[in-house]
Amino acid sequence: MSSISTRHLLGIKQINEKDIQLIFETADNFKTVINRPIKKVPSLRDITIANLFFENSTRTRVSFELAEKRLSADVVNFSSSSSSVSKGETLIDTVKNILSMKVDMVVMRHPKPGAHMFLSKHIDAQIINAGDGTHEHPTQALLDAYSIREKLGDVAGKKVVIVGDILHSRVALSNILCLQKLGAEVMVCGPTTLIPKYIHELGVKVEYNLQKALNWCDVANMLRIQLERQDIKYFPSLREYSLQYGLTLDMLNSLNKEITIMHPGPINRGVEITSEVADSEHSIILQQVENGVAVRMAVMYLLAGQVSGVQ
Amino acid sequence: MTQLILKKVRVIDPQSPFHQLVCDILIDRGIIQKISKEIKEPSVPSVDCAGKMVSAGWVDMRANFRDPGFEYKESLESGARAASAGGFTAVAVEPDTYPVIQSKSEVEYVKNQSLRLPLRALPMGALTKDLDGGEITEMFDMYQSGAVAFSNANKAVKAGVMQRALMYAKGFDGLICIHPDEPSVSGKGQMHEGYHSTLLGLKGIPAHAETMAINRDIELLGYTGGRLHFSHISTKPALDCISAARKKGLEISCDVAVHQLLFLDENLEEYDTRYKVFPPFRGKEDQKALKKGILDGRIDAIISDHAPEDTEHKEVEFDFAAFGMSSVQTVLPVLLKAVPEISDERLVELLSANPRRLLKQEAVTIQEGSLAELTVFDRDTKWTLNKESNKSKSIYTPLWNQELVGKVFGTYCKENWNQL
Repeated sequence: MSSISTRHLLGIKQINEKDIQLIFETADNFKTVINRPIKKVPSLRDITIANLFFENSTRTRVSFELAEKRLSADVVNFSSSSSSVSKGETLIDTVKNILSMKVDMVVMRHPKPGAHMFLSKHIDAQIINAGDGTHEHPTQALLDAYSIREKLGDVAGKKVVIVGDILHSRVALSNILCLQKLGAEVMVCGPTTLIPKYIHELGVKVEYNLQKALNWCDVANMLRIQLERQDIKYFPSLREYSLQYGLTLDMLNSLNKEITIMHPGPINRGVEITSEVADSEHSIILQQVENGVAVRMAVMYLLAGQVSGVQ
Repeated sequence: MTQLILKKVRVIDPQSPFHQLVCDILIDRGIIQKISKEIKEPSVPSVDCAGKMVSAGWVDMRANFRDPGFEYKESLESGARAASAGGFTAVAVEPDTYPVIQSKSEVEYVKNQSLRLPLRALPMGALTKDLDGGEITEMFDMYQSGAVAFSNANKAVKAGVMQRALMYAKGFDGLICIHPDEPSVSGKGQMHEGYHSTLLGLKGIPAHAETMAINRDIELLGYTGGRLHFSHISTKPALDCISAARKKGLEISCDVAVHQLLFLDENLEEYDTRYKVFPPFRGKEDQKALKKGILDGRIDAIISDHAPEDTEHKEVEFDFAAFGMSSVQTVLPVLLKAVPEISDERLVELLSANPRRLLKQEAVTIQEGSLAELTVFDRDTKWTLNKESNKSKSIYTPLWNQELVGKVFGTYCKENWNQL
């Protein structure tokens, strides 16, 4: 069996198309597994994984934990807000303390961009990035692309628009890089103040009008407004945001084609997306969540293949 | 040591009749006594300088020695040793210490400490009280006590305050060295805003944060008159604004931090905090323009912008890391690597003649009877900055353990020969 080209999953930036395809093929198998009556495989028995969440998370943490448990890994969880870390113990100290209890793999979410790269230079364990500030969230991008592949057969040649707060989104950057590596065309759409000025240099189209963006795309990935990451006001009110960038069923019905609606969650119903749309047959939001477990299982399984002693 | 002969050294000093000649130089108690093709004084100790050049001692217009208050990062003593090894005979030190250098007594402290150093530490006084940008300090008192210029370190000054400071300093021909930045635009930026900041998910510092501040201060200077120096400029538009204002007759000067000529924003690719400096490393176009400005005379001085940091401030997540790198010992090799075509004359002008003129330090001409404050260096000796050679307390520079080309052989300052 072929193996993944990287020791850590720090970002989509560090993996190639072959890696992504391998992750998808592996995830296909795991998706079958988790739909069986017995959802557990012994693949990561004797592997200890620490989930270190230095920033609040519910779904990503649950998704990782389920993936780990279904692979029979031993799991420890550590949560701490970044403030308590900056108060005293440094990141390296915290992680080294945990690793000295013999942990093989670290799944980490951290509020600061590049925290994983920084950590990878100081510790031996394998690292999976579960989100680093406004930088990357690679497993989200993988599960998004996997869900597009599942729904539309292939990612190559598809047109995907990412709508919303691109400036503060790690999902957007990882999605752009992942979709491009798989041959999709990517557009970003949102208020001008929430679109990074140099985003076009990544080779994406930029559109400020949601209706035009919808006309163009096959898939619309609606992002949540990251109010917690905005230190200043980028738009006057949620109402005004929703007026321009809220996706409604009327908008979808006015298109002369079917498009697929995605959302990385959690949804702000009535802000970026109405309930009607979120719950409609256009939406694959819940499939994304299910695929998240399979894709994360695949990533951990493939990375663990590099730990000595694991078959 | 009262007398010393520098043997077979090539003089770099366009003002000197010995310019570009290989000579022996006899120094007696800090004064150049004699310059001749060969001086035979067997009783006088001599230093063989064959293959090396001598110029007027270099002056750094901006370095942080972190003393008083942050001696765990650097002290006047360790900073001076590093600067001396880097070829400097005088260094203007920033006022953002603890306490801030903002009154006569702090200025005196730096001057007193300087007495035992191998170079002259030149205190810069704070421009505003506690550097908060709100109220001007006792600038005249500090000036009288020996402050060579006024700086607000890396902090912004409100427009009205800047206007009054310029007017006030004009009264005694004081120099204001300002760090041009509009903080409401640069915000919490971590690096140059562009392709690379987008890819790294780091908050960007747009180039116009610098230009806006420069344009504002040029406008103010047009009203007030006086002398204004822009420290560590980093962009092409900044240089263009300054050049245009100078053509209109304003007394403006500027400098560039030497590392700005060598590194780019793309060096931050792996979130290496050693490349985190302020102003941030910019793109290729900006750097090209700065190099041009170095060669064509639009930039007046090269500075080290030495900002030594310790482990706790550098080996942390990128957003938490402090801005700044240790740089005062490696100015020459960095400059030579970045701008290899630079002439010996221009190099000395940027490192010595111009900073001396701007900071009103005694001009040194390499001729008999002149003050002996000298730097001896070459352009081709290879050396490595490492634990053995590093004199600073800080190891945080991307040049750590790198082979460098161009070395300072020694300096003559305060009647002493300082050789590594």
